Amino acid sequence: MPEIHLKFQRQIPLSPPFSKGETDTKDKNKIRTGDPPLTKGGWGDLPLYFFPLFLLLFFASPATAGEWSGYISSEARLFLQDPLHEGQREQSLALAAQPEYYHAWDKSSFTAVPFFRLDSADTKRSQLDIREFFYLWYPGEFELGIGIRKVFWGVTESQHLVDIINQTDLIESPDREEKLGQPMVNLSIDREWGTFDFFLLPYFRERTFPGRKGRLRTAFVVDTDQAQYESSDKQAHLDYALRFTRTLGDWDLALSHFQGTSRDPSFKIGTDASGKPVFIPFYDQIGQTGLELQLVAEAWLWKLEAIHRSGQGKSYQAWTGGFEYTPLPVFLKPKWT
Amino acid sequence: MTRFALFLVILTLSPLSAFSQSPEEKGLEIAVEMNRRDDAFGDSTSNLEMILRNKHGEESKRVMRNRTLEVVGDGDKTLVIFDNPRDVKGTAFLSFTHKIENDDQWLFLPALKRVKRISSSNKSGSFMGSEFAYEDITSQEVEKYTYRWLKDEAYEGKAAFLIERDPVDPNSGYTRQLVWVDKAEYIPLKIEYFDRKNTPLKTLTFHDYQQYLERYWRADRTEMVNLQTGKSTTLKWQGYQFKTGLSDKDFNKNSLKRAR
Repeated sequence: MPEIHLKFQRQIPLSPPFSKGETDTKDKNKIRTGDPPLTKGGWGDLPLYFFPLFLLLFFASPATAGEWSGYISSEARLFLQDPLHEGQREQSLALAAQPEYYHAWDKSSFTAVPFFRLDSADTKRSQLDIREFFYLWYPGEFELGIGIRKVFWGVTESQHLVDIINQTDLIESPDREEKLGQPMVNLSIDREWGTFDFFLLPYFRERTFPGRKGRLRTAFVVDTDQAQYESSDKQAHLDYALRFTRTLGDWDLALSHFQGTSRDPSFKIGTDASGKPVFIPFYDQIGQTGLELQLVAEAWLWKLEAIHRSGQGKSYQAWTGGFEYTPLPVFLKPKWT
Repeated sequence: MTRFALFLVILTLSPLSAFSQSPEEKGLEIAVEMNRRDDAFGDSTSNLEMILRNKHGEESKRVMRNRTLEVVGDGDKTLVIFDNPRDVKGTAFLSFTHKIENDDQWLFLPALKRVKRISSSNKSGSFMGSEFAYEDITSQEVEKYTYRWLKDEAYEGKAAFLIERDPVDPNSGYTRQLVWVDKAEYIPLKIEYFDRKNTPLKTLTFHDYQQYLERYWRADRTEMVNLQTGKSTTLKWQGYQFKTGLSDKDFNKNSLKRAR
């Protein structure tokens, strides 16, 4: 399908007084959002009480201590062929902003990253999400994180088999790289013998899917309002996860286990209120054990990820491997000004 | 007999006397002494400004913070946090340097919230696009070179040893380096680098040395000039602090993730 996809993203120093060095306040692409027509669906399933909390912090924080950063992006999608499915549009315009607030004390820190998107075509893609909103305490012997966070597991780039803590934000990007914030309590202990992480995940977030007008969608719309769960606790099911990582010379090793609500739904066919056929997501209870291996050999990185998953139909294994070759160090080339 | 005893006393009291040593032994002795005078610093923190200049004189600036932990019996652990330019702000770099083997290196990418292991075999590659190669800025361990004292030669009015050191690692970008070492303080004043074809490649000069804790000498400014391309890089160091109480816990993957 031919597609023209323009994306423009810009880092914006949101509060020049707090930032060191030069700041570019003459941003040509500053966007006035006006009254955002956020729909109910756009709020997703995020606990709403986080938002007032965030606003409180936003205004109550002492002006001398915090640090703001973030970005604003605009995106245009133009499809040259007629849509396949009823309701889809040829073009869409989207605006997104992701400010970040950070404050550090001596042995702890607070981070808040809200995310806003307005999409001209798909109301489901107009959303407000809290990507991160957490307090981190690191007295020395351990690290304790409480709140909404993003946690990445894995070594390969082609697909992320082992990565399971955060739900995928499929509306935001069809490549599954964008994630929703996950409420959690995370205890991490980093020692000579390795790093041990324990996660309690008290609230489940459903996967986002494009709405009827969205172009990058399945033939039947996924009706997220009718989502079903194997567990009677539904979204309140308490999930947990463990991970152990260790570096042994040129080897990096990680073992992990997750027990709880699958981030990948299975689908049933049903109908919506108006009788149209839709996919209904079904979230199973699963157990997933993961292995990550990485070997550094001169300029090469050799990578392997493997999982064993049970609870979603028949138990199964999957693995993915890859390599990375770095002829030059990762660091950037100078930009002459 | 008394004359012979006196001679023995002189001999034992003057281990640096040239006639008892080969140039290699003397070169190694100078390197060991440089290392000895700088050991037991424990840990240090500093702010670093890097100014890159091309041959037309155009400049580009980077700002970063440095934390170093001395590791007894091995290379140091280093954490570098980038503050500027803004598109790399929050990126952090953790390395465990080793005396002989390749270093262990990780990079934290703040936009992805990911720690990534990176390969360290390319020692001769540029550090952040500057004229400093990675091997120039990594901890300088005695075992990384073989040494030879050439002669005593004053450098800018200061009495100095001129030594040659040859990298042990076959992946090094250099055949040899000439180092002018201050005779009084055993600190480097100038280094000339020769590339794999043994032609002069770069010169590094050390300026405005300050002494910390009445022992450790650090240059406020170092200048690396590439003789072949005309590009140069200035490093300006500020706010040095020693023995700040950093430990291994401040140099692991968790601390890399929360460094900012």
